[in-house]
Amino acid sequence: MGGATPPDEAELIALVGTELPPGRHRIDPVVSRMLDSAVRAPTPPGPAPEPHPIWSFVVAQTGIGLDVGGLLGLFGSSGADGPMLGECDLDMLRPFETGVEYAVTGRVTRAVRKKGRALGVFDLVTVEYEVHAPDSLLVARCRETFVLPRREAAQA
Amino acid sequence: MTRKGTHLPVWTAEVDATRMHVMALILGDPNVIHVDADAVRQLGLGEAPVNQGPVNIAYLLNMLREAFPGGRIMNLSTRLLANVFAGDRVTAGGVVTDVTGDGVVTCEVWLDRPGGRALHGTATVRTVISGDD
Repeated sequence: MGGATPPDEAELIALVGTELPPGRHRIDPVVSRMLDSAVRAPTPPGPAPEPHPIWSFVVAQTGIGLDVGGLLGLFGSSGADGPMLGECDLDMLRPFETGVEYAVTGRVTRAVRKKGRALGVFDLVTVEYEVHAPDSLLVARCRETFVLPRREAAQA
Repeated sequence: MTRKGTHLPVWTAEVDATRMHVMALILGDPNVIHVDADAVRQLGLGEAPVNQGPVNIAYLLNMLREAFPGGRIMNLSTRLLANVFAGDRVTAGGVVTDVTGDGVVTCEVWLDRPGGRALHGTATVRTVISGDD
């Protein structure tokens, strides 16, 4: 079923501390309005409306130098395995602005293998991102925990 | 709105598949379960496209922004408990669990869909904007 080979448990744990390739993201004002519509939020009035706070997630995920497929691949998973976002912790320290280029860094902070009744064997992996403004001030922190089903490990 | 035990005004919406397409582009999310009902059926997940997790989180942020106009959401921690599907009517709600003297409010928050709870978490909102904020 899966499109990638899962690591064994020792290899999985060894991924903790892995730094992701850094990247950058600039919020386009038109895309900001599109996102407001997509999440059913009114766009604030004015010539430079403040982007929705969910950009703390979006800038982190799209700004890091690895796309979603690449991130899953780091853990030997793929979209075909049915990965799920299990937990998300957002610190929103300063408002985002459109047109500003944000720097994004990220690292793996947790990777554990579990077994449950519904999913069988699965991995919980947490990635923590930091988003900095051009003046180096921290704008947002995003911690995502993914649930990665491991059908292959269950059959091993 | 800033007393412990106060329930926040609920926020509701019907989830729309077309908006998932826009978010799939914005997020760069290649997962077909957000755009293809057949793929959802084949995976045994349900009968309709699955809403993106961050969109469900955004619904909670919408509810908090409407509950605390002029406030600033400082933190939102959520557990995603169940999928939300196109066509679902979702309801975001919350209750104040703590208030500090400087206007920082902590809330328990949730997002419900037909059949149960989809998200559950906590949020912290600064309801008084200080001069250096």
